[in-house]
This record gives sequence, C-alpha cells and structure tokens, in this order.
Amino acid sequence: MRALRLIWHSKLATLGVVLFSGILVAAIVAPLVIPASVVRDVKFSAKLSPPGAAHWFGTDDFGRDLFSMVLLAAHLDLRVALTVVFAALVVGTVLGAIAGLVERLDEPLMRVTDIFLSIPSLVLAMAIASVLGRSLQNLSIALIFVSWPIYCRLMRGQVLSEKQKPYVRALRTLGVGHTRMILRHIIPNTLFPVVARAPADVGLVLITMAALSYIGFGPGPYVPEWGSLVAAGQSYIFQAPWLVIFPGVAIFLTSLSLNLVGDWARDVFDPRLRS
Amino acid sequence: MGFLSYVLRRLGFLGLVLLGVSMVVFFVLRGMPGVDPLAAYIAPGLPISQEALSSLRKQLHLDEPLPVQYFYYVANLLRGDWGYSRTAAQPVLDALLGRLPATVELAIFAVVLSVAIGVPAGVIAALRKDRAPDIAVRVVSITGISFPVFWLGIILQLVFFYYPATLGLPGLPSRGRVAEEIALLSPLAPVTGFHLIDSLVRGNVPFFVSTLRHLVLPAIALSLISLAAIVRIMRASMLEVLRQDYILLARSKGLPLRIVIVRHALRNAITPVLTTAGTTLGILLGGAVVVETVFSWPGMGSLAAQGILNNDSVLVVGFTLFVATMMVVVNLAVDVLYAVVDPRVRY
Repeated sequence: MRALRLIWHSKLATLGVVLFSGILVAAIVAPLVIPASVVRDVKFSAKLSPPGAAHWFGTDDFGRDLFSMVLLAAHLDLRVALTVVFAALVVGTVLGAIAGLVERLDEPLMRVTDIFLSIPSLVLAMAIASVLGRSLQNLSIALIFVSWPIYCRLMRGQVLSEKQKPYVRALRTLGVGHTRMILRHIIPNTLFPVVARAPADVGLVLITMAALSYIGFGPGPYVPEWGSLVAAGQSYIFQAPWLVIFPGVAIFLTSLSLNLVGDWARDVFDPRLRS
Repeated sequence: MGFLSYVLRRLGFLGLVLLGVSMVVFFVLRGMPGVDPLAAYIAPGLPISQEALSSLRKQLHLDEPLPVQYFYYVANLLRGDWGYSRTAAQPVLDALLGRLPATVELAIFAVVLSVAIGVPAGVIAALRKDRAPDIAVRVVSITGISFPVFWLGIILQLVFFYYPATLGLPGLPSRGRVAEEIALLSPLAPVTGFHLIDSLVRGNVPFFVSTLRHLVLPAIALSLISLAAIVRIMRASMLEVLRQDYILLARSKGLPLRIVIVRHALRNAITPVLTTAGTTLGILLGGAVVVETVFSWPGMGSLAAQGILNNDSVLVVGFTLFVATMMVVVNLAVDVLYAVVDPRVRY
C-alpha cells in the first residue's frame, strides 16, 4: 500500500515538475523573444479579436496579442513569487534557528511569530502594501512580511528536536565544538523539512499576489501581470471571455504544478513519516 | 484549577494577543520607513496649507515619539475611535460594523457549504485510503487550493448568469445582495442587518428568496478556499482515529461498520476541524475581500478593496485590525467551548 502511494505520488509529482519546468522555461524565455512593442503598440483595428491562427489567445481591448501578454506576465509573476518565498525562507530559517539555539531569544521571537500568524496573511499584506503605497515593489515587500513567520516556527521546532537527539550528545562527548556542531550537523539535518514547504508556498504567494493585484495593487495596463490581466478583461467578460479565461488558466496551472510538487515534498520530508 | 479561572486566564491571554496585534498594526501604520503617516489622513492632491498640515499633525499626535503615539492610538481604539474613512465618508468602526452582517451572512453560507461537502469527502477519502475515491478527493482538493478564487467567481458569473441569460434560461444573479426591483417594491426595514433573518422576521418572502438566490454564487466561490483545508484536515484526522485501539475494539465486538464510523470515529475525528475554526474564519475573511469585489457584495471586504483604490490606508489597516480581532475572539470561544464539551481538556 505504501509503495502504491509513493508511486501515485511520484507520478503526480513528476507531472508537477514537468508542468512547472515548462512554465518556468517559457517565463524565462518570454521577454527575450517577445518584443517590448507588443505591450506598447496599440492597434484598435484588431481590438478584441477572438482566439485564432493569428492570435492564439485572441487580442485584448488595446488590440494586443494576449498570448504574448500572458507569457510576459508569467515572467513577472514567477519572478516576484520566487523572490518573495526565497527572502521569506532566508529570514524565517535564520530567525527560527536563532530561536531554537539561543534560549534567551526563543520566547520573544516566538511571540512575534504567533502574532504575525494570528492575522490572515492576505489581510495583513493588504494593510502593509496599502500604507507603503500601491506598487509592485511594495506588494512584494508586503508579501515577504507575511510569509517568513511560518518558516521561523518550523525551523525552531526542527532545531529544538534535533538538539535532543543522541548523536548530538555523542558528538559533543567526542569534543565537537559548538559552531561546528551547529553548522555541520544541526542545520543541515533540519533544513530539508523546512525547505520542503517552499514549492507549495510559491504557489500560495502567486495566488495571493494575483488576488491582490486583481483588487487594485496591480502595476497598470502597460505591465503585463496575471491578476491585472484578469481584472482588465472582466469589463469585457461577455464580449470577450478569453481575456479572463487564459490568464486565469495560467495562474491555475502554475499554482497546481507547484502544489503537486509541494504535496510530494511534504510527504517525503515530513519528519513524522520518515522511517 | 476550576473552569472559571481557566476562562479568566484565557481572557487575559486574549488581551495580550490583542495588544500584540495592535502593536503590529501600529507598526504597519506608523513605523514604515519613508512613509509619512499624515498622508493616510489626507486625500491625494488636496490643496492644503503648511500651517493646516502641521496643526493636523499636532492634533493627531504625530509629532510625538512613537511610544507616545502608540499610547494615544490604543486609547483611541478602546474608545471606539478607529479613525475616519474617506472612502466610506464615515468613522472606520461604524463603516465596518455597518457592513459586518453582509460579510458574516456570506461567510456562514460558505462555511456551511464547505463543511457539508468537506467532512463527508474527508471521511470517505480516509476510509478508502489510496483507492480511487481517496485519489479523487485528493486530486480535487489540490485542484481546489490551486484555483484563483477571483477567477472562479468570474467564471461562475459567466456560466450561471450570462450564458443562461443569453439562452433565455433561468440563471442566478451575479451582483449585489438583493435584486434592485425587490428592494424598491418590497423594501426591508433592518432589524439585525442579516437580510435572511430580517426578511423572515418581517415576513417578506420575495426579499428572502431574492437574498438566497444572490448568496449562491459568491458563497460557492468563497467556500472553495476553506473546502480544500477542511477536506485535508478531516482526512488526516480520520486516518489517525481509525488507527486507535478503541476502533479495533468496537469492530471486534461486532458493531456494524457504519455505527463505528459515525458514533466512535467521526465524533473524535471532527475535533481538529473545529479547532481550526478561527483560522478558517480568517482565511474566509481574507477571501471575502476578493469575492465581495467580484460580486459587488456590499460587505467589509469590498469596502476595504475600495479603500485600497482610494489610498485610504486608515480604513484598510482598520479592516485588518478588525479581522484579526474577530479571529482571536473566535479562537478563544472555540477553546472555551472545548473545555466545556471535552472532558479530556485540562485547565
């Protein structure tokens, strides 16, 4: 049964990896092959044309090719989501490791973490981004602010339980120093279960970011971004539903691929399931 | 220790958490580097003299050091003065409270939907672990958490409102809380602010039916967020309970499987779902910002979204504080209820 489960998992995980790699490559290549004029040049004669051979995803209300817009948006959205999660991961694990290792700082750090976790992340990100002012950069800062605490808590728990393990005491008896113990033994052994959360988190940040830019934090009509593309297309939902459908499917597939990988990673690195 | 002292201790704890939350919110409002907190109080582009600005700064105590400002801030919060919202043209707390019933009505519907679907789905998945039903439930739940909710809302409008309307079929309404003609022809005098309750109390049947129809699509969109979470928790918790000895005992003494599942397993397995009620509420209120915007639902969330467009950060930050307070209070209520219901909880 366990073997069956693992096969099923790895199949879905493989699907996730393949899907995500494809999207990532497209996102990286997009700005290199698509000329910037696609976004800037307005052609009202080609306004709202339906999907076809000339324009695979149709055109928007400015007559721009939606397929190119969605690909360019993939670049922006993925870059922001990956940056945010990487920054949150670094800040969170460093603070979490400190909380787990330095007893004096454990309590205060954990209380701050608790308070951050007691406010829904979308709502807190909204408040921070709104005070900083509407821009993509401020939105990213706000998302980092709300994403680090979970890593901090996870890392602290890992470090605390690792410190108790017999091998740590054994190594200490053998004369392994404090710094060496932390850097060579405790941190490497605790990092993987924490990092395993990252793929699913990238998916979550991606969706949160798209939602926030949909409600008004978006970068405006001349910077393609998935959430804002959906918002812009909503006015034409009845004449040109493709304007909403394609960017939405792009968000969904990207986040799905990340969740598939994340689900697998969580099971593989879950300390409770390790035999 | 007695039950009363447990409740008191939890209340004290609640005070501390709220104090912490207010500090974070205050830091967001006033402590951000490079942001003049006065900007939040003035409509952008409003011609205003330097003297007026500095007197406003003094009046709002923005010229004092931050700890002193925090003291004034908390004192004002406690007096119910949460600042003035330019968007609502109303004090922030009044604006939020006025729109609370619409949001709660929607959230309750979403919770009912996601529990009604999520709990059975989680149980079935656990009972048929690694077989087709489990795999189906897990695939659906992963798909669910990957869906952008605002997008789902728009697609629902397209499928259940626009296409039926073009084909001349009956569809579901896509905007607002009640049909405009019903609100005009048979208006409802507010009692509680909850349209469903008020229309029943007043015996206003058309209003009730129209409200119910307006709730369907936004509630489905909103429930998706909590549904995936509930399925996951329910499945994991049911798997855990099914491994316990008392389940084996109940089975071996010959009780039918159905009885064992419903009476023994489910009652114990459902507790983690209840424990996460506060978190679920928070997720829903966050989702409400987006869903209410899509469906022009006149709740707190769509107001906050309008606040964002108006750069009305006093309102947006007030909304955040309000939501966090609701979450903390619900968490406390759940904990206390637990202590009442579950004899194993030590206090």
